[in-house]
Amino acid sequence: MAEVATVREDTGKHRRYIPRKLAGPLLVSPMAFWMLAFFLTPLVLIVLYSFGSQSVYQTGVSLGFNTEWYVRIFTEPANRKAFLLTAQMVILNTVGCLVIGYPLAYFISVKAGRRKTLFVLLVMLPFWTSFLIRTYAWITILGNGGLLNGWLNDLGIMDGSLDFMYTQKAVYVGLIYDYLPFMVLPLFVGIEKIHKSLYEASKDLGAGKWTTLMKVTVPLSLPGIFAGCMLTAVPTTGEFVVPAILGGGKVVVWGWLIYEEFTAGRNWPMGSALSNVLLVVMLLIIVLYIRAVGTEDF
Amino acid sequence: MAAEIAVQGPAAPGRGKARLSLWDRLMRFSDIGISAWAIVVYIFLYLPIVVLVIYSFNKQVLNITWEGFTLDWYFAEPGSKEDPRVKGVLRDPDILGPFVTSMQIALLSTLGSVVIGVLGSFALVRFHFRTKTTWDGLNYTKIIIAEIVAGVSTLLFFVQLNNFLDTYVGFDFFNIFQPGFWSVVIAHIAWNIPFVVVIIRARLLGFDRSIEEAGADLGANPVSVFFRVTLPVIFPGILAASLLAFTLSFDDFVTTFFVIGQSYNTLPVQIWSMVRMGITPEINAISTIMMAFSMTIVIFLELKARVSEVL
Repeated sequence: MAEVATVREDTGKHRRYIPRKLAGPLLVSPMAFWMLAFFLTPLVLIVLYSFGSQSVYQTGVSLGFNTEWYVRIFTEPANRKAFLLTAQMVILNTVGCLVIGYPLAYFISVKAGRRKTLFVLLVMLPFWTSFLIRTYAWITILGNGGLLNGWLNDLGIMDGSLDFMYTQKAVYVGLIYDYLPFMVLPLFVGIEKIHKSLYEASKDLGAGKWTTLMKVTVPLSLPGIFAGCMLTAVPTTGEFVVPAILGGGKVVVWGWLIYEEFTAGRNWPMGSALSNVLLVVMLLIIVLYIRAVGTEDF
Repeated sequence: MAAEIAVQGPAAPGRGKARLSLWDRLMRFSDIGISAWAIVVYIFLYLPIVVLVIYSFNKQVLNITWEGFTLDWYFAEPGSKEDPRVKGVLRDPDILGPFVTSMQIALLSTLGSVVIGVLGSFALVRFHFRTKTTWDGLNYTKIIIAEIVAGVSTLLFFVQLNNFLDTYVGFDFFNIFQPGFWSVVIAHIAWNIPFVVVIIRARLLGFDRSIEEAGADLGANPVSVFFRVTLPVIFPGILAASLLAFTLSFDDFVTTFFVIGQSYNTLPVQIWSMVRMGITPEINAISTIMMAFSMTIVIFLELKARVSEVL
């Protein structure tokens, strides 16, 4: 700081150390370098790799233009099954989060009053812990002989073991649990932007609550709905941890195929091709979103 | 479409209210309904966490039903109990080692990403230059896309980079690009930067620049304006960004799993292998400690810096 004081000039005008035109690019350069080198370059590399061929002894990959892996992806029934299952998972998770999250977001925005911040924080708090742990936490509840099983037996609703764990249903519970905050926060922001006087205007004009909801609240919170759906749908496409932990290896989704090829399968070009298909799907969803909403709220 | 008619049709004279549709009439109970729904969802959000914590004190090794209270999963010396599976988290080297690695990686990547992210945010908010939208786009894409894609592509990148260095350069850069500790730090910095930028940028956009001008008019040079005016004002944002970056890095599993190689292990990677090997309440105990850790940070942040307003 002492040095700083000595360069002060008395004229009141400051000497520019760096020309203004260069300052922006200079400040952005470390970030630009990092994102180019360690995010974009790997993505380009994985595209190249997916057209490579692997030698029989798996000693290396030679680059070229080999479409074998993509042909396998689109012809093998197991891959098609995984693709459809993943699509179903993405849709059900997104719709599930929306249906569960919308009333909650509405509650926080309209009904919670002064405690709004607290309720938002309560939604965010679980999101700050590892999703691995949040997913694992469901095993105790959903497992055979677990808590839910015990409660249902005690209440006389059912008898014996529940057989819920390690099924698709358990995976959906875990997914909705993990992704709900991604949905609720944009929804909340969307509903929060609606001016409260519009509700009164709607009521004064004779609309009931359902009409107000369908004619005022939902249409005006559409940007929030779109944003929430995108933030939920896009990351779900590559999900493999929840199906692995709660599906017990029986729920084979696209992300799990990639995981397998990069670990036990040791077929990296195939894994790369799988990963590229996923990337294209994600970029498609993002492009659709931008078409629908624009980049303003992005 | 009965609702539409109810709105648009003129109210009959002499009647106080327009006729309401069935749905509208049902919605009279919506106030109670919506509050009840919110309560149910909050229970859904917190039930697993509460159960997880309670079951970390469970005597039963298989951790299916409640058998009795014990602190063994926190404090038992490995090998001191009859059952070799009974180990306390705080004494278990398989947990403590990865914990230390996780802390080191999280600290280094937080430092790196916050410095780089703050500089980048300044550039994006305060200057105009041609490539601006490119960096914005890259950041947002990085936040949204499924992590597995970034994870496997970064693994490939490091492996190829090492092959390249071996063949053409002949210098290994002290093996920092080998899948291991430093490759994870590098990948985590790339993972954190976009989140840091989102937070700092919001802070900078709400910044009243007249106070900087006041500082300059009073004779401060740009460097001291930055350190004495700008930095103190955006400091809550920097604090929030640092803690977010730290938590993201500390809790990260997917990227870490692919990039870490064979000789290192972070806590989430260790938990992953434990969950898949078979579970004991020890995992609940680690989770409880990790959660207490993260939540203390968030609550501290909320009290000190009002993160929920920054985010």
